[in-house]
Amino acid sequence: MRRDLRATRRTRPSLTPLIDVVFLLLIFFMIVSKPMKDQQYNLTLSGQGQSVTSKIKEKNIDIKLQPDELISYGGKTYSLKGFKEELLSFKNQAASGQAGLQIQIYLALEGGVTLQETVKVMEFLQIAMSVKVSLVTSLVTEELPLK
Amino acid sequence: MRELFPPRNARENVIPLINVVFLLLIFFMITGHISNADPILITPPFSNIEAGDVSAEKLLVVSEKGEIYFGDDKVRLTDFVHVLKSHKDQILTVKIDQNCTRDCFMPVLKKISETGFKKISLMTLQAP
Repeated sequence: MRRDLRATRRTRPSLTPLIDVVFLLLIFFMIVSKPMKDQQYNLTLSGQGQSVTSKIKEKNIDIKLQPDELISYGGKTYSLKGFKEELLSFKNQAASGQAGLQIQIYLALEGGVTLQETVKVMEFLQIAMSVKVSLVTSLVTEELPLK
Repeated sequence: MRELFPPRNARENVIPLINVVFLLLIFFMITGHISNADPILITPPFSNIEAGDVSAEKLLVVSEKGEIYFGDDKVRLTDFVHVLKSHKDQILTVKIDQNCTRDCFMPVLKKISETGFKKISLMTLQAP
């Protein structure tokens, strides 16, 4: 009896099955898990670049996005930086007479513009310029003069 | 020579290995995100604005070639409106490939807009 007990104490449990299972779990999680998390970006759609009647004072601007993140606006083509400056001066002029004015931009796209470019420009306008942006979903859009 | 290279134990200590493997396992379990596989492999655009986690049951997926999938089913642009109208009470989540050009994704967005959806959730990836 004593001999049996000693023999049991000395026996070391085999770790190999545990390591096998842990390795399998590790491989499973490495394969199925995504390192980057999916997010949502709220996209406002607009059939045409038309103003919506609301109690809030809004100034609507129609712009067109060209490939390579160029913005066509008021008959001129701007880079993102150039457009920021133009919009800032316009914002200051427009807001001088009207307090609490909000700017609503209707963004139309030219052929060849990718979704990544569209999202980048919309983000830029929303974050850097603090304006509301709607995506014009009609394929044929005519550039409207700046009012 | 023997002093320089002492004889190795017949049985190596595997405890540090197990520790590291366990740590890796815990890392992947915590940081990883498991979700349903898309019917087609696409890469959503990168974005810095985070509007929340994706919780939609059914996704509208548009590939780089303009193929449209709703859930696991491939749908045509002409039949699209009927499919959308049946889900009008839900928030529509759309996943479009980042390299999709205007002519590829705009017809889909136009149909969505015509159906009555004014706001949609576009699935993006966190910008690196």
